[in-house]
Amino acid sequence: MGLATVGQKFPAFEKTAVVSLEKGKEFETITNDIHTKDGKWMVIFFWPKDFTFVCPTEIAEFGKHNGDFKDRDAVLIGGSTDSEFVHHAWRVHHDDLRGLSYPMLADTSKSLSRELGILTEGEEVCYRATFIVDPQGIIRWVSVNDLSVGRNVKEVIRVLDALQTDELCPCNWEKGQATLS
Amino acid sequence: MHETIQELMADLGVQPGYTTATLEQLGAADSKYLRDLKLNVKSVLTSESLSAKESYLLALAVATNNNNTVLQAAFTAKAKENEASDAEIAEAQACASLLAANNVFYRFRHFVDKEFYNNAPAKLRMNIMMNPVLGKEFFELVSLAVSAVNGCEMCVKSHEQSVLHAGSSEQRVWDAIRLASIITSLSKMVY
Repeated sequence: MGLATVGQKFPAFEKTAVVSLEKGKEFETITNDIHTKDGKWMVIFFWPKDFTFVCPTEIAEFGKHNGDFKDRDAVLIGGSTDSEFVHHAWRVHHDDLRGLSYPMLADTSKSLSRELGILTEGEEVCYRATFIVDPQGIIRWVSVNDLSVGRNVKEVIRVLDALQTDELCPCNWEKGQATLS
Repeated sequence: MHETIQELMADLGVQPGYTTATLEQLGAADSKYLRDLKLNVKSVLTSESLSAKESYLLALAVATNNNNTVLQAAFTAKAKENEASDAEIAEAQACASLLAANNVFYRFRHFVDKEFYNNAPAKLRMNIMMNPVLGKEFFELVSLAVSAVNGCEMCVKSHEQSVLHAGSSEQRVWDAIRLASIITSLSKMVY
């Protein structure tokens, strides 16, 4: 399946995620509702495998900026094809991941990653893909890095800002769109 | 205290006894302007094309734009009495603040009229314009009134078009502008 891209609907999903390390509250089922029900944006990113080296740096970096995403009415989600139990174990054992403030999605069946077209051939793990999805569930930005290349979270925020700062004021209508309809 | 000042304060719902140095000077001279001001205020707040709630929300937005805390408190209370919700009151004030920004910004673009500035993205968040709780027509009417006060030609012209496009009437625009003018003049006396 080809890479899901800008303008397409983000696929419907229903997945278990690790949301906490508190006993009895570790897991939750997450669907597209997590952002659409409140009219929020969604920033969802994937990594190849838990317990590897580049990943925790990146995942912790996204976590540090979760406040920036919240300020921008965006729900942040991270995920891989590892199971929720592997995610949980990784979080428990890694200092930088213990306090993570966003859900770690378990796409164990690989159905979402496959639909998004972000699985590597052969091993079928996720490329470092990032999607920004608008409140209507439409993909507005996609970025895919090869396995060894980490992401720049500030760039994701810059793109989100650019997507959210349309000049909505009628004062701007002369520019580009002359009609009022 | 001059009787007309007392009546004006009562009309506005400002606490009895409240006065300003400016009002006192006019009162001491028994200035005819006090009566004109009182009647103008009454007239613009009771126009036929705007409901009482809409009039007070508009007046609140103009008072916010004019940094007038006394009138903001008075019009907030009056808007509430006329069943404006907290969300509507907050949005009228937010609209005044956002438009104050846009008036500066677009006025600059329009004054200078250079290709670079005309095409560079604003990178400013204007998302409250998207689905206003006040409804598109009234939000645009408030935007227009604030823009008229702040004197941005491009904003006034474009909001006048968009407010009519949203189903308003020239009469409502006219009454909103009369109200914005008089609340601004009131701000010079009550502050």
